[in-house]
Amino acid sequence: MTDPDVQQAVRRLAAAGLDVDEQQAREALSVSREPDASKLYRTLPIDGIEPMIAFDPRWRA
Amino acid sequence: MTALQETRLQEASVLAAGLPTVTEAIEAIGAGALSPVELTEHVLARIERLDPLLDSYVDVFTESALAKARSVQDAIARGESLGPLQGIPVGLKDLYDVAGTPTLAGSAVRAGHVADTDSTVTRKLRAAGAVITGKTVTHEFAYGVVSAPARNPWDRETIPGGSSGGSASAVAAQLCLAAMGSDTGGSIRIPAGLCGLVGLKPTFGRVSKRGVAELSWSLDHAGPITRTVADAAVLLQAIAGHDPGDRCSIDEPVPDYLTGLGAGIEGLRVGVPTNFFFDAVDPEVADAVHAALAVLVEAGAVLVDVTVPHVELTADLVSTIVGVEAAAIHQEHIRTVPEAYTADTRMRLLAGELISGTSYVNAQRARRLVVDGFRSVLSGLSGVDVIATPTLPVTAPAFGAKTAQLGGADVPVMAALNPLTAPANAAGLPALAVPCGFSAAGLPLSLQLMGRPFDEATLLVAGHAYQRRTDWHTRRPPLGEN
Repeated sequence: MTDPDVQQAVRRLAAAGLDVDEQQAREALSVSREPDASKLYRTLPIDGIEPMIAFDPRWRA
Repeated sequence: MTALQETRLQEASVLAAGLPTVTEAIEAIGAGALSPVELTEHVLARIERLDPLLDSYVDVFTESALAKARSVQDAIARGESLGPLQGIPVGLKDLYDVAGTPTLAGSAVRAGHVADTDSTVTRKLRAAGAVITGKTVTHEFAYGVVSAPARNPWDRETIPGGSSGGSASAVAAQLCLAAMGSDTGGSIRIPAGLCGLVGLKPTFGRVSKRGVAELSWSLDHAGPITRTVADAAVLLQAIAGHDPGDRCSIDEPVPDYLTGLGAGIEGLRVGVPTNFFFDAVDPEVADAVHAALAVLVEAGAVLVDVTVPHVELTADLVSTIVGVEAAAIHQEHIRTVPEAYTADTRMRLLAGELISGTSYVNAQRARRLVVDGFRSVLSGLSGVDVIATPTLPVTAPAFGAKTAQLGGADVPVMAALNPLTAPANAAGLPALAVPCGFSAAGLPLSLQLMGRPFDEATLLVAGHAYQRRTDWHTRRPPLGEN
């Protein structure tokens, strides 16, 4: 992770209402798999697959 | 000798060899050889004596447990039954709501919380006659595998695993006969495996999660931790079933898990993966699992080499899904009281906030690849009935360790403990952890069996067949009692 990565994370979190310093952003990025995972997903044969997010149109009490 | 004296003598005999299993206790209570009050008093005395060594409970319900035990005993005296679990002391992970008591979920964020109503599982356990002994330690909001301050009874310098670590520690130390856990990436099976116990993660939707604090809506499961597979079957029978109050609950009939439990496994086709599941596993673990497979073969099973397509995607997609869903669940508190979270949880929630919406949707699409991968192995004419793997690649890490050795590399403890359990969460399949030996250092080793959706029965029959031929589950941790 580069300093610009950390600064971008601080800005993104601030825009989402989360006030963090560079150290906290660095720690969050250190546990994140997002950079690698997002690239991986783009290589997978998932075109045509609908996401497995549950949506139930039935009305329930 | 009076009848009362005779009963006391029988109770002393039942309890002398250690706490009975759930199945044994049901039989002894039914036969009048053990009173629910005596059993509960014995469990509470053990908690008082041993829990200071283990920190497995956050709250002990002494008065209500004794009151329930007395009501069960009175009912029995009147010739009535209060249910299949009457008088059985059961612990609840501190994510399960119990009306009138706090559900702290291991976090200062929940300080002051008091549950209005019982969780569905709590209600079902009570309705079955169970005695709720108290709340057990969870890793904060179930987002981790350490469960501090709880300790592993097999070696108190090691962790019990998590996130249901308090439940496993309590069951292993016989501070209750069974306990409930929850499992998002392995949080029932990991502590069960590290503590020498049986852990059952049922199929997604099989057991209600209503009133259980969430970590990830689409990956959380509720299930029991017990000493034997037969006990897990008894617990599952009591808690399974559709709950309209839980949107994840699925309306599938609940079969009889108990009648056919001893049917045996002649001809059972057991898939043994040639990819992924044995790639980075301690030799001691691999040896124990292969020995367990040999036992299954002796019992009549047939081993079949299988390849599970796309299973290697699990770590990334589970990390993405849990990260986003947990961030959404905690979006208010991470903004208003961030300091109330532990540093590790806060860091993970912030990381979740940084995951893109595109990644979340793609992870849910990739999940379909994993589901289809398992389906290709478990269905069709050439399909196997169950898949057998190690539950964990390593034994219990040291308390306080940040990393563990996996495949010759130091990796974070969570990454070391959950790679083999998380696939069943991604696919929503039932999975059972069964103790299968001990390391040279005396730490438990564990076999995992995974099955078809809603086919918990086959897993239970296979696990029970294994336990009838082995005695790992009868060993007791060294707590200075003998």
